Amino acid sequence: MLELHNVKVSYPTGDGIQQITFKVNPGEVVFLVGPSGAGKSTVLKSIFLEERPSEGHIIVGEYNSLFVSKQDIPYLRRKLGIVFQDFKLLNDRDVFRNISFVLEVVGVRGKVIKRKVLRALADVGLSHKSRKYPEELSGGEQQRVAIARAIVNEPYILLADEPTGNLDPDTAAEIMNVLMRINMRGTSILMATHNFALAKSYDGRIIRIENGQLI
Amino acid sequence: MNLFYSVREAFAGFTKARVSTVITIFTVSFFLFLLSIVAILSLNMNRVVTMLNANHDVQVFLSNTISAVEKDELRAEILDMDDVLAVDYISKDQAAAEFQREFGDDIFEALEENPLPASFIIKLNENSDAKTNINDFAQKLEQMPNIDEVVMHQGALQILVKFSSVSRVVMYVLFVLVFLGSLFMISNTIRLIIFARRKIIATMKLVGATDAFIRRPFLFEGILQGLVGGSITMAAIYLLVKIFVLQWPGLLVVSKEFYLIVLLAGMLFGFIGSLFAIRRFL
Repeated sequence: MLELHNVKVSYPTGDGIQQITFKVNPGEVVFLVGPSGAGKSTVLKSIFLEERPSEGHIIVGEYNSLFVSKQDIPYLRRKLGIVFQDFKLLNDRDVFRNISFVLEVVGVRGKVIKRKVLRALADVGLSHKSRKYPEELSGGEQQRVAIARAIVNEPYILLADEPTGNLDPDTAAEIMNVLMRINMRGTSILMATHNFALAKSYDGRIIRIENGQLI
Repeated sequence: MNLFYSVREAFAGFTKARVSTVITIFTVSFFLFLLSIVAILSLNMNRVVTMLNANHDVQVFLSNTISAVEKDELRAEILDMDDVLAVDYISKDQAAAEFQREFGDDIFEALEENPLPASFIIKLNENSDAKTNINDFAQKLEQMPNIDEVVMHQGALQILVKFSSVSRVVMYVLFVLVFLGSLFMISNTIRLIIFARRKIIATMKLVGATDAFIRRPFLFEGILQGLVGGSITMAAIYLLVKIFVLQWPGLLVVSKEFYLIVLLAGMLFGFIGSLFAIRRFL
């Protein structure tokens, strides 16, 4: 499913991650917990190859980071659902088109697109807002759109980078419930968070990272 | 490839970023207009030169001792040359009559004998090589027997021919410079539009869109902008030519194909401009 073997990513500033080795099994929830600057985001970025490991390798499904060319990266990313702290929605289009975009990318036909998007919107409880633009939604709603976008392609694994970081506690709990519901249907989740208490209150394995290394 | 998606996105982009779209369209129009003017001038300059050429002939003066038979032989020989359309004979008497008509004096009042030589007026084929290599043609004539002098009335013609070949080069260079400058400016304007959407492009890449998939709608949008810009230029040129022709009939001709080329050039500008502009963001 997802395996990191002795991964090292270094930045010119000297920060980065090293000797990162762990595995996420099918259907599993894994929390990557650590303080700000510990390297959580870097670990996730190395998985979707926003940052290339300088040492070690990462296996995502049939992809091995050692053999993934620049042209292959989009195809690798289609196997992953990614949720960001700042949502990263496409502000120039409505909720429906934000989600349908990832289906257009893989060339899904119009009718199927409609069915899948409506399904994903129902999963995150936003069916009634499909024609709204991102800026018309609350933070929690925007994050739910991002989650719908991440799951609509039925990814191997959902990567979430501080998905509740910008949200108030109630909304954060809401988002966590949505994620857990998705996991119940079989999607693995790797979630980075600085909030140890939050991670502990859900059913999942916790991996701790500090100063770029697992502890 | 999802063509429908790309076209829909292009139209969406077209209507969303209204101000920058209008700026791009007018940039395309403006530079296309400049290019069209350069092109029309150079196309019509050839025309003016050709028109002037058609009115000019070469005159050769015959020696006074030439006999009637020699004269006929010479005439046949000249007619045989490449590019010669006709050879008209002007006798000494005709020359004197012409002189009197032009200057009002009877030449025989002052002189007992007619000093004017007989001559041939040689008409050349239009577009003949002889016109551009008029000096070579004159040299050949001068080497023939019984020809005293070769006169090309067309000093002006020669200057024009020279001028037109020089100015043709100048026009080509100007055309290429304006063309490249236009592409540069249009590409930069389009880049502003794309710059405003750079975050969207980055996100698209994160969720698995290939560069080609991201690029395609921008290219369509560029073509669309070029099409509108080209139409505006077409209308402007049409009006301008109308006004010009009312003032100076017959001096300027702009063909239907030219307008079509303007339109296609607009689309090409939009396409290449977008192609260059998007490269920075992928």
